[in-house]
Amino acid sequence: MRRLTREAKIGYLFLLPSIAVFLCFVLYPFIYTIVLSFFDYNWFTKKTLFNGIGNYISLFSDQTFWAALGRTIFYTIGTLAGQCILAFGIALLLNKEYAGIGIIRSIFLLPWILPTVVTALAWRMMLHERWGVITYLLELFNITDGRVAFLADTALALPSVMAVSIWRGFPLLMVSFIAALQSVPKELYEAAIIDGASWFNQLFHITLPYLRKLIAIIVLFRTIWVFNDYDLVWLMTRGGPAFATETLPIYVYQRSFGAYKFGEATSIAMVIFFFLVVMSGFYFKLIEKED
Amino acid sequence: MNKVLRFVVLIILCLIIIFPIVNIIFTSFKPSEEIFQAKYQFIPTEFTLQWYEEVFTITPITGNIFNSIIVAIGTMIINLFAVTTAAFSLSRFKYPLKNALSKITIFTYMFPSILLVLPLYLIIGNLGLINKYPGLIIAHLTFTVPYGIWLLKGYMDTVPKSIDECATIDGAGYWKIFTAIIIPLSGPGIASIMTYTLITSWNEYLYSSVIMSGRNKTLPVKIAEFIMETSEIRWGTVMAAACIAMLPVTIIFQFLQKDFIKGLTAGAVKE
Repeated sequence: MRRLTREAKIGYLFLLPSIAVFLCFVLYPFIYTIVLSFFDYNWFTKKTLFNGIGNYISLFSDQTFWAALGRTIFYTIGTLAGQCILAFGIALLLNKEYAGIGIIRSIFLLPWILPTVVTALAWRMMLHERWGVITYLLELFNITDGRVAFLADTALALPSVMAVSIWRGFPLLMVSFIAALQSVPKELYEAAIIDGASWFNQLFHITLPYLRKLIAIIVLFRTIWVFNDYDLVWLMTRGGPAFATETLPIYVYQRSFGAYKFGEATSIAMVIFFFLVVMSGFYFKLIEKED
Repeated sequence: MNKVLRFVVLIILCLIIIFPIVNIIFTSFKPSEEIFQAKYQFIPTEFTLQWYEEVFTITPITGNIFNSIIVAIGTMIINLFAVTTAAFSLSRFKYPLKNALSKITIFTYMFPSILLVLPLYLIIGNLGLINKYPGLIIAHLTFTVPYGIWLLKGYMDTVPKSIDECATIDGAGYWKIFTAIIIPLSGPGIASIMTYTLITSWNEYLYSSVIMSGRNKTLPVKIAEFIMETSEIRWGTVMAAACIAMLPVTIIFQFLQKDFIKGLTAGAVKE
């Protein structure tokens, strides 16, 4: 074996504290998850029985799981689409220098730095059936017949949570999009302006094609986040009413800390992990091409 | 697009986006009758401090605020040590597996907490750290460290290598270069990971709700308890608590916003 140089040894030494955190509290728990997913773990008797792929078989034949997966995909696509449109729109508006732009941008960023519990609270108040401003205005302008209980309605609960998720998550995308827009070389536009291309044409024929890959990278990263969004959904609806907002992360939580079926819970977690591997695979591929 | 029109659209969007936040603040100063009335009242006609009095006397959250502060600062200090050393190593040293380690860092940052929460809970339990500050600090480090390394490595890469080469010639050791050159020159990068750590640790809900209970609940967990475990929510009290919860993050964020955004976009746009 090749001997390590002194430099390499010292380099590893500097890495030690973070590697220790990684090995003990990320890698080890993760291996624990894999192992547990093949066992039937009883929290109360502390008995562990090997179950082979039993957890996976029962999971894949469980209707609840497929329903939760479907909801998660719907939630992810809807939320991301909303966030992208809002974020890109605002990024285009903000991509010019004028007075006060700093203040405006920091206001747009506020939703993203709030504690999730505060976000959930703010919207639950506004969507409240009796005192909420949204239900009040919708009734006032005769858009709805009476006041609608958005979060208690099985058809409306998930879209409502998605709307909140859009509000909360768009700022991060917006900041990334602004940075992306600023990376487009100015010369690209010069010829187009001389030819008299409209703002719209410039956007679709210069800006978007140029940024295609960068936008894909940014959006991929967000996909992982939205797919695994637990806090907001839980704090808004707890997965209810009648499972209407039970996404995979909520399902994992319910199975683990609600039902104490750790084996089952970890097998769902492994499905989430599979998704993470696929998405990050795409991500790393794109990053490499970009370099 | 016309410049004036652009500005007007921006201002309107701004007002819509910020409305839920302003609504919380105003509601926390409204007397009961104005919160619980069918007709919506935006600006309170009568200001009251009764809800703020309540969160410090009847249903005190002082202890929870204290818990959140301890956890956030504890996480920040340990995080700072682990992140600066690792980022320095990845940015300045040559050794086998370096590229793989950089990738693992990003991959770990993508790792969702819902995947780790159960085994981490069991491990922290085995260490006897459930419902203790170090237990939650450990949990928070699992996401603040990888992000911090990723961000700070990028920042340290921009500090010219020629500076530490000169120092080496002058006889400075690695530790000297690290503490006397790299750390001072990475100031804004370090400030931005500190901000990030403080804000995310203060805001974090999932790990906190599983690990902390009783008197040790952090502020978000306490607020969640207000809204989850009662059938009729006491909106006034909850809104006052929410205002207190969002005050420090908003202030810290304004203070360090520029570096923070720079760091974020460096992370989101480029590796």
